[in-house]
Amino acid sequence: MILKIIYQLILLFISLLLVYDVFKEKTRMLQLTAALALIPFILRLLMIK
Amino acid sequence: MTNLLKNKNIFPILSLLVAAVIGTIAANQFLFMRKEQPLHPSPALSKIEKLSVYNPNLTGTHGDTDVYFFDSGNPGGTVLILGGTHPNEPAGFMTAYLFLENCELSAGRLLIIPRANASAFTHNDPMEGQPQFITIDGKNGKRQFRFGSRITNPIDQWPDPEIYLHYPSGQKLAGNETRNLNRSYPGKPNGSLTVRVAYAIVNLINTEHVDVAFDLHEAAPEYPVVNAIVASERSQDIASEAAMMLEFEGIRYSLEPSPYNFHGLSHREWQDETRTFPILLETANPVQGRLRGRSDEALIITGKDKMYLRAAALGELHVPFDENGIPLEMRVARHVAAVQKIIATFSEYHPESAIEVNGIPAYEEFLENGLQNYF
Amino acid sequence: MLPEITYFIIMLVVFILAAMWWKLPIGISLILASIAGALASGDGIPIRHLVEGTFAYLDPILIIATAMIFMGALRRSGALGSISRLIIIKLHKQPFWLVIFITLFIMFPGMITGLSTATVLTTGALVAPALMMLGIPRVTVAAIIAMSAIYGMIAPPINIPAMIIGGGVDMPYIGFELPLLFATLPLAIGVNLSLGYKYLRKIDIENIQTKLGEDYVAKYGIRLFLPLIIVVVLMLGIRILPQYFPNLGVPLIFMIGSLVALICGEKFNFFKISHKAIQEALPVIGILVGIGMFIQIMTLNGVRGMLVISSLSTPSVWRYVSMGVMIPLFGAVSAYGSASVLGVPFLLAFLGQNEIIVGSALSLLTGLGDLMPPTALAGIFAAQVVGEENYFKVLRVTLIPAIATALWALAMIFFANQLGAFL
Repeated sequence: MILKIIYQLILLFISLLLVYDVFKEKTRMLQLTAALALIPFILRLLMIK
Repeated sequence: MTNLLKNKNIFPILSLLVAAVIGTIAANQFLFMRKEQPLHPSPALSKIEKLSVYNPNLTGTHGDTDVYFFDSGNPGGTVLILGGTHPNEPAGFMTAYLFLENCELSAGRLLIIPRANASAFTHNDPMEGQPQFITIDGKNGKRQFRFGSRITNPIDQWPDPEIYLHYPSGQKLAGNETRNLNRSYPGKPNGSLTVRVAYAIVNLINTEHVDVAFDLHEAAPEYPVVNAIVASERSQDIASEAAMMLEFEGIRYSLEPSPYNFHGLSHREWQDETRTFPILLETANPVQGRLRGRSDEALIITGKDKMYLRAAALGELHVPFDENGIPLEMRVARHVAAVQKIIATFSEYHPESAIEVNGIPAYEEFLENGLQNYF
Repeated sequence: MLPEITYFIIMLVVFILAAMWWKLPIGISLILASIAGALASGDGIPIRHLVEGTFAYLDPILIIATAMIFMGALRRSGALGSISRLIIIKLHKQPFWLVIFITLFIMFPGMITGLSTATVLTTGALVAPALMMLGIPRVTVAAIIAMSAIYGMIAPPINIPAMIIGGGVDMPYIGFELPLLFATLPLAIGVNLSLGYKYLRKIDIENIQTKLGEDYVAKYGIRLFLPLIIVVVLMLGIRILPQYFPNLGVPLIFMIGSLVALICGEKFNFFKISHKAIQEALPVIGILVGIGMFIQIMTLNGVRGMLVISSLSTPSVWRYVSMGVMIPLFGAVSAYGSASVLGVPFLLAFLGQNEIIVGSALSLLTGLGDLMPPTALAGIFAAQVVGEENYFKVLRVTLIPAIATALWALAMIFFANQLGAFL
């Protein structure tokens, strides 16, 4: 249970890094890649999937 | 805000919006799986209990599920039917639903847990491309039944260890098997959700003095243990007699002993941890197999698959397979026939604990009327 | 002709067009190919399936992301450079033992985690600068790291593909230690000696010593290596004494190591190195997201089944060829995927042979999948570790070792029963 919360925090941290990265990537396609890669992170973070 | 709306930020913001829209659409479909479709128990129902009665640590979790009690009021033994140990094996849970909605009892008790791993009904396995529901056009109109995953939803149990150490044997399995109910017996009151569910079931078998316990499954047609009755040492005799009788009726079952050195399986641990007669039943279902072609609802219902036809021609399968496929109806019919035959055989051997379940069609009758007539 | 072949061709063509013609990132190309495959089979744009597929590799993505952060932290704290220093100074006089030591050293994290990426990004990254300074060409260093990481992932005690293959036929993971050692150790030593030994016989230590970076060990002492020690102890502890060590999982262990590195050496900005790590890992993260979708759609529309049945359809001798080619090729999507999708049916096809030997050898074949582009998890990260941008140069060097490995695995399967008598 505690482990799950810790992993939620790790997910949150990496999600934030990815959001930040969407704005920092040099090419549009990499920006899009970062945005799409966020989907599973956010859905797991919200405990949906 | 004005800073954020600079030109160079427009595409990133658009990307995030696209991701948000896709994520929301998908989320809606995922969440829909959490809704339980109603089951309509037969009038023989005497009570519904929660599984958490047998392990309070399940209370309020997605692992808690209904246990249906059918009591004839007459003396006799107790039978337990588990459906949905693996919610991607539909003949297993559909057989449990069929007993639940149609049974009448004249001796002993029948206990049914139709969704043994309730959490696993709430999601599908990634990369399997399987449908979320199957639809049966029943006597009172169309009914949807969830088609789930083999293992507990990661929402309820995550992260997986890299290696799953089975309790208490210490046997090692791949990490995601830690969410497989049929690798988690005998379980323990605390621990992962799956282990808690396993413990509750073992505790129920002991508390309710279950005489015969069925765990209903399906397996891929290329898997060696298929169309099989798996019996532990205690249930060997009744299983072999029942298999012989079934064979007389033209229903072929192979008899497989419960392996000594493979831990966590229902039949293995029920043998060792309870006094019940454990039985696990397998039918052959192409939708689980690695050789299958298109993975859709039709494959589950009709059991027809052209890749399996090719596999059969190559001699890769352990069951006969032709262009008629192995329809869900046939798979449920086999389970129904085997369960009835084993209960009858047990009752014959142990007349003081006899169980009489009526209202359930015989094999031929069931195939004649069709699955839809019982739902 | 089966329609599945058409879907497969459409998916491949879209992928190749997107990746080679339009030069889109591999991840995006895979997503486009998946959508094309679903459209072709009349499934529209199945959002649920597409998104569900992305979850397949969520856990590996977490491991890769945290491993990258950990490596960034070690580099910035000064630990990484100091380890190269130590290796060079202590071992440059005995090239043979240097190769053996480095082989086992790189393999180690793979042996205890079963993950080739974690291996490349930890011990692989640690030895890479040293090997390059000792005069081994950069692509050869990448090849050594990639191959060692694969052998490490397959070597006992932990081999996840073998567990996946065994799990598919309900075979417990017992008795695999010797067969897996036999499958990996001779190859690992042989391959690395053949790749690296010739460069190490004439080391110009005077020249190298001038290039070595600052000696942070003098500045921080053993504390410098504390993050690494903690990571190793946690990983080992969970394996050896599971009853005393909580099962933290690899991502958390790397995060702990990274945080400890903050106070054990040169100072650095944690957010900055984390972002840089994610940025470096993003192409691979994108590939894993896209691959999940790609397989999900391939399974939905029947292409996966067609591929499996076609691999099995080959007659006896060709079945070996088919195994040796298809399992590593399918590893292009992922070694684990290949273990599950092809490894299990092939093991079933060889029932009656010594199953532990066959399973071990099949797992070795799946390991080669980690060299296969586009994912090539071991290969691409090994290239990244040495700073080589063109992965195909690395692939070329690994070609002969990979073929030797495949032949070794096939021979193990052919002689499974004889080997089983004494392994």
